[in-house]
Amino acid sequence: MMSGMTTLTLQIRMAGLALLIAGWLVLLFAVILLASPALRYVFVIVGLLVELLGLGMVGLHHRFETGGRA
Amino acid sequence: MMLADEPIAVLCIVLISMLPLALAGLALLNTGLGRSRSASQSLMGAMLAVSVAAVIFCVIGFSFAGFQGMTSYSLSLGSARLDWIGATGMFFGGLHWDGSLPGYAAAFEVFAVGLAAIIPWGSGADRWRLRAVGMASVLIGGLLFPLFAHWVWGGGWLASLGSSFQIGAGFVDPGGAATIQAFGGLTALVVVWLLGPRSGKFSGSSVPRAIPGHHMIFVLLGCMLMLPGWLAFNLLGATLYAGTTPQMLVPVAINTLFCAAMALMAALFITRIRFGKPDVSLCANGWVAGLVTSSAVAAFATPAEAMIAGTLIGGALPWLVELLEVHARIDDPSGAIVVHGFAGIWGLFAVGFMGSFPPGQMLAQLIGIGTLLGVMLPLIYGCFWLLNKVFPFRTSPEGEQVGMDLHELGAGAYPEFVIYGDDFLPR
Repeated sequence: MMSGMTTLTLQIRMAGLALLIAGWLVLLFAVILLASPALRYVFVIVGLLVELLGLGMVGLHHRFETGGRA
Repeated sequence: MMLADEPIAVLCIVLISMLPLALAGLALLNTGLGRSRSASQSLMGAMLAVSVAAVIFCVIGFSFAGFQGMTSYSLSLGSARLDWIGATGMFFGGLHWDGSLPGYAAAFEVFAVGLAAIIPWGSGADRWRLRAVGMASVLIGGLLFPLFAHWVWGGGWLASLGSSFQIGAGFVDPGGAATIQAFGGLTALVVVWLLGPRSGKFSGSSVPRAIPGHHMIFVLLGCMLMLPGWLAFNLLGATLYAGTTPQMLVPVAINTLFCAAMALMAALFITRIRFGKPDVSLCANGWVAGLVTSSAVAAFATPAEAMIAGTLIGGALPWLVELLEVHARIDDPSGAIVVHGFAGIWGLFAVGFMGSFPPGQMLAQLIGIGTLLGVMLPLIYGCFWLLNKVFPFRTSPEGEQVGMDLHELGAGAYPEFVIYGDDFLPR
C-alpha cells in the first residue's frame, strides 16, 4: 500500500514538472505564433495556469513526503 | 561599447561599494532566524556561498550572462530570433576595463550572484551541509544564475520581447526582482522540498511546532543593513539596465524606502490584529519583502504606487507564511520562499500597471514570470535533485541533534553561554 502510494506521488511529481514545462511552451509559442495581442494574453494566461497546476502537483508530492495527506 | 561619463562612473563605484551591505544584512537575518546551535555554520555558509558563487561567476558565469551588445548565441524560429545565451570569454574575457558599462555590470552581477546564493541558504538552516552548499553555489554561479541573467540583463530574448515581438518594452527587471530575488526564492523552495523539514517540526501533530529564531537583534540589525544595500542594488540596476540618469535616481531611492516602510507597517498591523502583539520575525520579513518588491517597482513607480505595492505584500505576508507552513507543510526558517520568491513575482507583476511603457508591458511581465516558473524552477529542481544524489544535502540525525556548529565546525557560536535547553522543542 505504502509502496503504491509512493509510486503514485512520484508520478504526480513527474507530471507536475512536465506541466511546468508544458505551460511555458504554451506561452512561448503564443508569443511566436500569434500576432493578436488579445489572443497572446489568453494563451499566456492559460500557460501560467498550467504552470500553477504543475507547481501544485510537485508541492503535493513533497507534502506527502513530509507526512501530510497527499 | 558605450562609455559611462564621469559622474555616472563615480556613482557606479560608490554604489558598487555599498552592495555588500545587502549580503551582510541577509546573512545576519538568516542567522538570527535559525537556531543558536547552528549560528556559526549559518554565517560561515553564507560567506562560503558568496565566495564560491562569485568566483565561479568570474571563471565561467559571466561568459554565459554577457551584456547587451556582446557576443551571444541565438535561435532562429522563422522570422523570430531568440537570443538565449552569452558567448564571451572566461574570466571576464571580452570586457575592457575602460569605464564602459559592461565592466560595471560585471561588478554588479558578481554581488548579485552572491545575494542569489545566500537566499536559499536561510531556508535550509539547521540541516543543510556546508559541502552541499558549496556545490550548490557552483551550480548557481556557473550556470543557473548566468542563464537567466542573460535573458533579462544581457540583452537576451526576454529583454528583447519589445523589439522582436512588439510586446511592451520587453521584460524589465532593473533591480533584480526576478534575476536575484524570485530566482533565489524558487531555489529556496527546491532546497526545502529536497531537504525536508527540521526534525520535530511536523511530528506528532497536525499543527506545526514553532521553532523561533534565536537572535532577534541579528534579524533587525540585518534588516537595517539591507536598506543601504538594497538602495545600491536598485540605483545601480536602474542606471545600468533601465538607462536612468543620475538626476532621475532620487525617486528610485525614495520608492525603495517607501515600499519597505509600508510593508513593515502592514505586517505589523496584521500581526497585531491576529496575535494581539506585533510579531518581530514577521515584521522583519515584511520589511525585506517590501525591499524585494521595490527591486521591481522602484525604477518605474510613483511614490504612491510604491507605497501601495509595499502595503499589499506586507499585509499578505503573514497569511502566505502560514499557508506554506500549515497547509503545504513547508519548513522555511527564513521565510525566503515568500519574502524573496513571492514578493519578487508580485513586484514584477505590479510593474505591468506602472510606468509609461509601450502597450503590452503586462504581457511582457507575465512572460517573464512564466519563464521563471516554467523553465528556471524545473531546471533548478533537476540540477539540485542530481546534486543531492551525489552530495547529500541533509545532515545526519545526530548532526541535527547536536547542532550544525558542533557537527560541522567542531565548536559552537556561543561557547560561554548555556543558551539552549532544547530550543523550545521536546525530544
